[in-house]
Amino acid sequence: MSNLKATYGRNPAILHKEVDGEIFLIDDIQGKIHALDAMAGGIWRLLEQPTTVYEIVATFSAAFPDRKTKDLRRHISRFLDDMQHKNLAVCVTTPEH
Amino acid sequence: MLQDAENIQAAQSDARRLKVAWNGECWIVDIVDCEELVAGLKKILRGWDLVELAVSDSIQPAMVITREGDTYDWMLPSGRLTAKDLFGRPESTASALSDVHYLLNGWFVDRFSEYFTLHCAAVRFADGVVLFPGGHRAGKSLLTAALAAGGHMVFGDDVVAIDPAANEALALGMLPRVRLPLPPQAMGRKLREFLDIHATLADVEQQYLDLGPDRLADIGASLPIRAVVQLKRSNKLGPANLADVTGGAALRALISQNYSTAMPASVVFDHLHNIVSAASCHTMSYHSIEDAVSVLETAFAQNPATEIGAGQ
Repeated sequence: MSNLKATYGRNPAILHKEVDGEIFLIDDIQGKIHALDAMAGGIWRLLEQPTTVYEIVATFSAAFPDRKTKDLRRHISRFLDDMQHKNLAVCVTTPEH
Repeated sequence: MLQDAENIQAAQSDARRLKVAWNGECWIVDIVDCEELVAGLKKILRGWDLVELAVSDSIQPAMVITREGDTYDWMLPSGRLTAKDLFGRPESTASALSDVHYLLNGWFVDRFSEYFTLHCAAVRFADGVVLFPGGHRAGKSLLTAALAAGGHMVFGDDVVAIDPAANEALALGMLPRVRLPLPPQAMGRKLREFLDIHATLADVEQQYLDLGPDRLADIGASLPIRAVVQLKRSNKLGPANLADVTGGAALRALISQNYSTAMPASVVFDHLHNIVSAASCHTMSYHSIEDAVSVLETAFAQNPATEIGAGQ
């Protein structure tokens, strides 16, 4: 599970292309092209500036007030884990405990 | 059964060696004690140069195929890949040919790096081809067969090469196959008869279709890509419906069907983007195959310039 207070950002090695509102991430090192769904695309946009899971969840909660914050947090954390695993996003800073 | 390299060398004395060539490149296969595969390979390939060579030790084949009883086996001496490693040992001529077909597609990708290949069907309409990207049980092979039954030329039912320099689809010159059993509820008598008449090299899981030169493009035939149609086969009764989608949505469908790994991902992306930028992009939901054919013919039978009345 992603650290909620850690700051995440885009991996600068990943190319980002947008076609008709669809976001594609291109990884020339691993030879992969990722097509993002709407939620993933929204998170990717927010990662343009390094941001925390808390901040992303707050943005999504404001945009989708009918969604439970707990569910959003879980989805967003899972997505960030996946993005890190695929080398698309990086953890920029981790808060000291 | 292939067990080790010594067995292969011993078996090769009874081999028939076929050179499968196109555009200055060749692929050599030794076929041992299975004459039906030699005939089958000659049947499924269209426009390729097929020449029988004398077996000699000076040239190593790219593939060696053998048979023991009803079971075939093969290996690639260069990479030591065997039938068991890939899909398991084929238990029919059609299945063995299907493996050769698959490996030949891979050889094409390796040898002709100026092209890339997509998992999709492609059929000629007027002066261009319509691409049908592969999707799970979308029905592209059966629809391709139905379009052939309607007189359209098939460029490919499973894998098509793309010439990015020209932004054209390139036929690979291989007979189409339909999966068996056929879905009985969504197919009319005429199509069923067409499939029966053109059936060749079948087993319980697949059936090649022996199409004439007016229905199947030779390897190397190329035409501009005029449309991309994502298929959505429905089990529910209802009319076929062709709907416009954005280039981005079509790009999403094509990206997941790219077979080529030699080209950098960003180059593949740009090529696919060029395809959807130049083509019209659609989804088509359908239940009846014939209904789907009718909708496609209405949409694409004329060249785009004629459809919009240009030049008049």
